[in-house]
Amino acid sequence: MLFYLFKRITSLIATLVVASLVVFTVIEVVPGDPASYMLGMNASEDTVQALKTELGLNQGRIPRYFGWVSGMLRGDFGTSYTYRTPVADMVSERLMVSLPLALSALTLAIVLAFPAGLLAASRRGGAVDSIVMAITQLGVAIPNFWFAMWLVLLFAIKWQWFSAGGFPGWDIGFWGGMKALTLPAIALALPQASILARVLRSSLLDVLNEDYVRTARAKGLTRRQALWRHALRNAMIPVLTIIGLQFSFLLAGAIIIENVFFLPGLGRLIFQSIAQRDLIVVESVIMLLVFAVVLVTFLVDIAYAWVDPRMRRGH
Amino acid sequence: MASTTRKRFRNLVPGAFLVVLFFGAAIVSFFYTPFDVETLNIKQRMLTPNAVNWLGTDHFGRDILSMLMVGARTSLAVAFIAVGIGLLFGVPLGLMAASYRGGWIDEFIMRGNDLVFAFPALVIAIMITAVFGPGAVNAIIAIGIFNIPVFARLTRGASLSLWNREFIMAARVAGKNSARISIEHILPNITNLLIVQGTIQFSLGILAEAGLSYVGLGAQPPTPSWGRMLADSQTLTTIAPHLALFPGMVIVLTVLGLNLLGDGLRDWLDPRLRRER
Amino acid sequence: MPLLTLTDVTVSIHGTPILKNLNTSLEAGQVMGVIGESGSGKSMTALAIMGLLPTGSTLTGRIQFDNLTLNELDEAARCTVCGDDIGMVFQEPMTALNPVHTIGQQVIECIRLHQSVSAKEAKAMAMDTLTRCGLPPDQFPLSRYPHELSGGQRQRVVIAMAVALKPKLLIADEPTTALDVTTQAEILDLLRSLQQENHMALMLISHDLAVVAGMADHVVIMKDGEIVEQGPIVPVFKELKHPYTQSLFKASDHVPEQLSVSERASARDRSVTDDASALLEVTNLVCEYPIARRGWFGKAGKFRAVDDVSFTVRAGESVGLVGESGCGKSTLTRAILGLMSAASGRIEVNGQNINEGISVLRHVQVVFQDPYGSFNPRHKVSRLVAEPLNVLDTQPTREQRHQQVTQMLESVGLHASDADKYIHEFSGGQRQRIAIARALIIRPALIVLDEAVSALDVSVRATVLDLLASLAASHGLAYLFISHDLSVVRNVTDRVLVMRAGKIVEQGNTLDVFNNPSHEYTQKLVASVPRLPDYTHASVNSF
Repeated sequence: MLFYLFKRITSLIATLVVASLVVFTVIEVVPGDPASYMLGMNASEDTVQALKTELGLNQGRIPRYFGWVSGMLRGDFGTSYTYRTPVADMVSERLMVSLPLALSALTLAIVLAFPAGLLAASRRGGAVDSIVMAITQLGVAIPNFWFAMWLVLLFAIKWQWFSAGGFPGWDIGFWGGMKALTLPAIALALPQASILARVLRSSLLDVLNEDYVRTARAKGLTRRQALWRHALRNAMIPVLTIIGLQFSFLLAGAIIIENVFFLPGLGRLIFQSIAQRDLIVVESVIMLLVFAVVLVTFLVDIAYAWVDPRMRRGH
Repeated sequence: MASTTRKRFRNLVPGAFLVVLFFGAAIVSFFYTPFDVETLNIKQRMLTPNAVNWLGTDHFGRDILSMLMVGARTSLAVAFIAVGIGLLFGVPLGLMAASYRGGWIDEFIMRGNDLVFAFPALVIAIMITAVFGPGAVNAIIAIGIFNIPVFARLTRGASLSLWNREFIMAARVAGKNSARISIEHILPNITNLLIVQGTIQFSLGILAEAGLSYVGLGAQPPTPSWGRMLADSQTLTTIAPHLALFPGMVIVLTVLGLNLLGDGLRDWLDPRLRRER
Repeated sequence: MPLLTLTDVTVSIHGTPILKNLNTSLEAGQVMGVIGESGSGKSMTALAIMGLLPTGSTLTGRIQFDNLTLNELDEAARCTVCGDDIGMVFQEPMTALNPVHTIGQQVIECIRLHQSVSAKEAKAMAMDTLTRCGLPPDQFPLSRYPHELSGGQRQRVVIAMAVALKPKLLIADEPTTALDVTTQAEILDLLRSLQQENHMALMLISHDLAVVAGMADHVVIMKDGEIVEQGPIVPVFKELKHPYTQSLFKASDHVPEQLSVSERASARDRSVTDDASALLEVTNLVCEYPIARRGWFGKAGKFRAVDDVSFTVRAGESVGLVGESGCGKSTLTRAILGLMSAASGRIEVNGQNINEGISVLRHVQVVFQDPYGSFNPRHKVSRLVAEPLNVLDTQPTREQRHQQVTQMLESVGLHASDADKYIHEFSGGQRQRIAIARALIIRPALIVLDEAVSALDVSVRATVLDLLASLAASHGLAYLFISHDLSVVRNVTDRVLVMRAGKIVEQGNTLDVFNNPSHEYTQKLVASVPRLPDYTHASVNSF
């Protein structure tokens, strides 16, 4: 088990190193010099050069790369070109919106998907199964931002239960903040819940065909007992994979939903930074997201080993 | 027997119908649209559906049905070519990885795949379109790049199990090399899987394109696009909800159609399922 | 009153009849052998008794067990009987256990499901049962997972689950078919002793007459969903009244018309090789696999699958290679076919090294085990059979190709018109014929038969063996006959090699090796083969 962990951590670090190189290189070749961008079209060559020196853009590439990486390891993500504030502060402020949003959307998706998937699989071919399959088929097809627009129209404008957008901050209390995130979380969760329910259902149906489920039934377990005791845990591998992917997606991919609800999240930060050529912010946020994805993948790997003893052998 | 046949085509027929419908609309739009989509007519703006403008008009007085027809071109073309990119690069990579299974080439391709998967897709898509300028071509590239590892992984996984089959060993005993076996024996046996995954990626591509054009990074005006029609309608939902309704429904129906088609094809092409029924 | 009675049991799935009017009964404490070839409905009978028929099945008739009508029980009532009064053992031990639960959990679950005992008592019972089944907890703790056990050990766990509550009836569906012959003997011994200790009725389902003959008091012979003959074993096996029983008996110990080695060698085209002494020559062959590193400082080790193996196959000779799973025979096969490279040693065919380009493959071809996996399902038979022509320097014209395919199909007993069909249109036996046609098309001197008849039913197997014998005579072929099935090897080979743990432990003339095995392992192997008793002199009233 320890060796398994060690191998996973090694590959995690390797991925991060390569990813940092890729991000750095791509940002290097991006056209558009931040210094001239910040100063506008009319700035003189001298002022541009002065700003470049100040921002550290005149150093060679290699020292800049190592400066960037070692900074990140110390928690120093540099200073935003545009706002002249530490990137770390900007990011943590945005994470206070994006992280709770992603977590609540994912929780909601799981809470909706599990009963639906289990019910559909245990009553395969029945009415419940058909209804779940029809709803999820639709849920997968609906663009979340379009769904969000109707949520706003109905719950914010017509019935005025929620505000139509914006984020009041956590200062007004936990529930106040959560209330502002409710509609976005629902909009994000619907398609994810649909995908998850379908994956769970089909994975369960596959496992229910396995020989050991038949053995369990020969022991005297009912269909339902066999599903709960023997099929569910074996069906979890693809489900865990999807949950991992969904968390990564929700953290960064809420960009469009953040636009619909005018939420100050990570997605909008990247969006603005790209538009303003605030490349140091872009670099750091992308690295942070890559780190999140890799970390989640790692956690999913550990969950695999917990679910399935055959995976503990370090392969 | 009649009922089992019906069951077999339960997903396939409606799926194919929807897909053909929207492809047809896109093709027809090259020759004919009810109204010209580039002519603004402020007097006729925000009409609700009526006998002349079947689906009403938008805030510039353009006919929504015509715009949806022209918009179908962009959406379908972007998603279709993006799937093409995924197939073109992903399948050969996957075949190669499988034929050198366990070797360094395999390891290299698969690690490269993991690396692409580690990047948040939408963020990279936004970066590409923002850096190289918004537009349909960059949207294609942005969506296409993330299709490559999907197809590479699928191809490798499916090929690996085939490489252990006895008919592949028989081909090797007949003196055929890996490349030839990959093309003659592996590829024809994974085509079904690729078609099914292709329709799934196609539908995801439609959603991604809609999202990108919704935030203004897809096809640029005056070319109509479904996503931007939604974005334009957003501030008007209270006074003219039909502006948001129709483009959204078109997206939903296209994606639904493709997903149904994918499920239907899987059921239809899978000989295992066919035998069961 | 019998323990189990089947009255007019008929089962159909989606309208297709699977079992037709079964009538039979089993007394308490008796052993019933159910014999049949694939598709005879023998497994379906077991599932019908257990109430585990696939969805879409309909059952009419009565299955009476004790004083219960099993087929009328609802799910809850079925579950109180199954696992308690009736236990079941399945064919495939590798997949019959849940991979994510320990063996202890799985046996304990069975106990606690039917008896209200404390966790501690259940654990003690599970340990006791596993010990009785040959898995004492000091060597096989309850915390073991199925993947940490071998196939035979897993089957013992499955048996432990089935007999934990001392059922009145145990149904064993091909319990040893997936196991090696020595393991098979051990598992059959275990079943026999458990049956006698607990005075339990046993329904033993098998395709193997010899396995059933050694165990059963009463036999039921099934074909196409019907019982064709049944009764006490000695009269049924002695008198062979029913023609199907007769044909089963004949086929199961089939000896093809043998030709002497010299006759076959003389039939062979001498121009290929003058030196008939060395068609295939394997010298000090070593094959290794890398094994994954284990632990922090573990070395990336190598597993030696073939360890210093030498032997020759002469032209026109039929050589058997026998051994149990994991002995290295598959690796050796792959090496001989040039599919994997050797760590050291040499493989020469007609004096040419096997890895020296594809031209050497002109002399060696292969027939694999699986009649379903051996062909690309998307190619027509003509293309499948013609594939080995690829090794020729000058490719034949379309015309020549067509002609050769036709000729080959006809020589294996198929029709020229079969060339335009796809493989799924053929039965298992026909597919093996097509595989032979494919191997034969470039007129090799040696055909490697890799478990080539193991997946076939006995009657089909007999006809394929006849075909192989006649082709050997007409084409002067040599065979390397790789099999785990000793009785087949005994009947069709001239010489035999016995392989164990990567080494050849014994080789010699087939009859000498089988009649007077010198190596301890060969002795054990030969002794483990279930054999049909000679019924001709048995008294009908012997029990």
